[in-house]
Amino acid sequence: MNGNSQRSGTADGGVATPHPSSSMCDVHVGPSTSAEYNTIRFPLLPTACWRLEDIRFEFDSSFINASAAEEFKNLASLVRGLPGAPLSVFGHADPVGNDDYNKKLSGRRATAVYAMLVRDTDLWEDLYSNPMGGDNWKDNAVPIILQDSGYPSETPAAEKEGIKMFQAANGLPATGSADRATRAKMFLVYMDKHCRDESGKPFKVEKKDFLARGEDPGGKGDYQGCGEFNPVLMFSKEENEELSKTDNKEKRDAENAPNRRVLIFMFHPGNQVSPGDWPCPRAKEGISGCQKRFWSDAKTRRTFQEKHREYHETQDTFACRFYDRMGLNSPCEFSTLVYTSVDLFFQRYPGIDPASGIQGLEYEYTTAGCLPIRGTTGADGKVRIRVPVGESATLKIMGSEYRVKSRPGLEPFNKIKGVQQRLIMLGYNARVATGTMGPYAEYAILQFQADNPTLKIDGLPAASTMQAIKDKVGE
Amino acid sequence: MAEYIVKQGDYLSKIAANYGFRDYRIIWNHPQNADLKKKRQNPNVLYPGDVLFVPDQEMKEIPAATEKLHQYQVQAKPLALRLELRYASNKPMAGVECELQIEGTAYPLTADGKGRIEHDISPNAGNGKLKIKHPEITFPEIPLKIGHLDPVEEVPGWKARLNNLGYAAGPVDDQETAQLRSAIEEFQCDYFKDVNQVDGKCGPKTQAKLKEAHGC
Repeated sequence: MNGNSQRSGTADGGVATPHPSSSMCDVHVGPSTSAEYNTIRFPLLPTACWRLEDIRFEFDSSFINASAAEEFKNLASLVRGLPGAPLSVFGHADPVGNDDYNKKLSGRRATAVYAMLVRDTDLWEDLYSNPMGGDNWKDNAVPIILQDSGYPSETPAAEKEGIKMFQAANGLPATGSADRATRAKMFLVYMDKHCRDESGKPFKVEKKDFLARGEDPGGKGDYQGCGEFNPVLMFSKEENEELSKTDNKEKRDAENAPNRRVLIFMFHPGNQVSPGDWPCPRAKEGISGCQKRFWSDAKTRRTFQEKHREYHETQDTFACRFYDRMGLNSPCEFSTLVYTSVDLFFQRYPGIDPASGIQGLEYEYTTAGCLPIRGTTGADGKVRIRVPVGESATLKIMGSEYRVKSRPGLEPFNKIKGVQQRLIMLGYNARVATGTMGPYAEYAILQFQADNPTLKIDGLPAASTMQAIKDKVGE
Repeated sequence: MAEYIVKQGDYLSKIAANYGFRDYRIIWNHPQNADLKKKRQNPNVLYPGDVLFVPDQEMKEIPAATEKLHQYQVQAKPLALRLELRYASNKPMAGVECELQIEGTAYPLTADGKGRIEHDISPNAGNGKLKIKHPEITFPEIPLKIGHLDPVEEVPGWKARLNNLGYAAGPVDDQETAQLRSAIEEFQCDYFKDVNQVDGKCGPKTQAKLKEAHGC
């Protein structure tokens, strides 16, 4: 088994991770001598979450960028690893602008993500035909999709050609004008191209696999916008005054970017909500439903205060109490890196051929407080585990149990300890990374050098060997 | 006459049994306990610190011929643990199979149309576990602390009931945290039509509603 670790976080465009949910603690009940019952009602708790950053959308728009494919790939693994866990999508906006506009814009983003997952091109057509403020798909959706598929689109004439070519390739009358039917096909092609699982197959979710099972035509329970009510970070009063100056508009938008995210919560299998019971208004509706669920001190929460506040530190930036209860302790609602993912490669022999991965192995891993995630290795024999930084996961595979611990970082590649750590990761038995050369370390180096024809086989950690080890590990 | 100070985890049937009484009502209906009875109402939901007067045992003399088998019926009200199970949507878990473990013994039960299960328990039962055998419910076993439900007038009583009703108020103690306030507000929001009733404070009106919603 070889190991390779990589980081993911807000810089990459999203997060996909299990949730350490607040599981049911002790239930205190009273015995009865007459007819009193103790009611036990199972809470609606997220078991996993996924976050798509603002950078994956066109600016001020609900149109999803091709680069979001990476996040959708991670979502696919998460969804497949938690069979039966229903989803609900929450779009968010930043505090700039008015409540109503922001609610609708965040609702449009949530709608776009939902539609992508279920392949509902009518919903995208609705977004296209009904622009709102700066969110106007008519500006560039068609050219973007054309270019993405390799068709010309840079000028109006080229675009017309591009559309004709697309239409011809897709069995549509080649008019050169993107009518409704053409757009529907374009949307579908784009969705299939960028919403795929790790093996490259299109990834689709059924409407019935969402929290309200698609029962409401307006998506109540399945997707909604929270507007600006639940930011993950709130500027201090001073910062806000500074950033509100006209010159600083770009800076403010950049600083506010973490707030403009789309979240998906996945709940325990078996959870189901009837739209009538769900407190969140529909994506297209106004804010009064949200206001009913505000904290009693929502006004304070929504005001820029003395200090700069971030949700994971102060836990007081969300105005909606209902959302707050789901977001509490969510690894997706941090504004900084909180988790890391580890790729483990299961191969027959260490270090030789990355293509000799063992396919079809069933595995299951658990992190403290989370539901087990199941999967099967693909052709590359890879298992990707997401672990909160500093925590460990238990992986069961091939009849064995491994404890996978996320670590803060490797020692530099040109220090003995770093060499030892990396050799261990590559599957060479250097035993313990002590920082000093010993017989095991020497033997491991010999083996590594033997596997790498360009190196001299002398068991010594020379610069070329250290570099080669570093390259093999990837960091 | 003995004075007994209630400890955490005590409930009247247990106290009665410890004093050798088969029927808790002998204690509960005693005039010296009238105030406590009025205050607490439910003899199985007492609070640590409550003072209970335990009357002396009266020896009953019953003439009985020797070398003959005599049957006596002991008047005692059966003590049971009664639970009503609901999904997050508040629909009853009708027909769901469960396993109720009380002090180590497991009883397979099926919830009725109202999601109710119950089983007799001995007066000393304190710990239990509930397992729901439902392919979709993946909660591991739920630990039950029998007899540890505090009265609804007290903070731990609020917290226990809010937790049981799915409002995650935090650990059952007397700490009035932000999480507790959020749970109270959520409860008030769900159970009172008027948005003005949502104040995050568990006053008498909210307590009454909480007791009604929880069942005891």
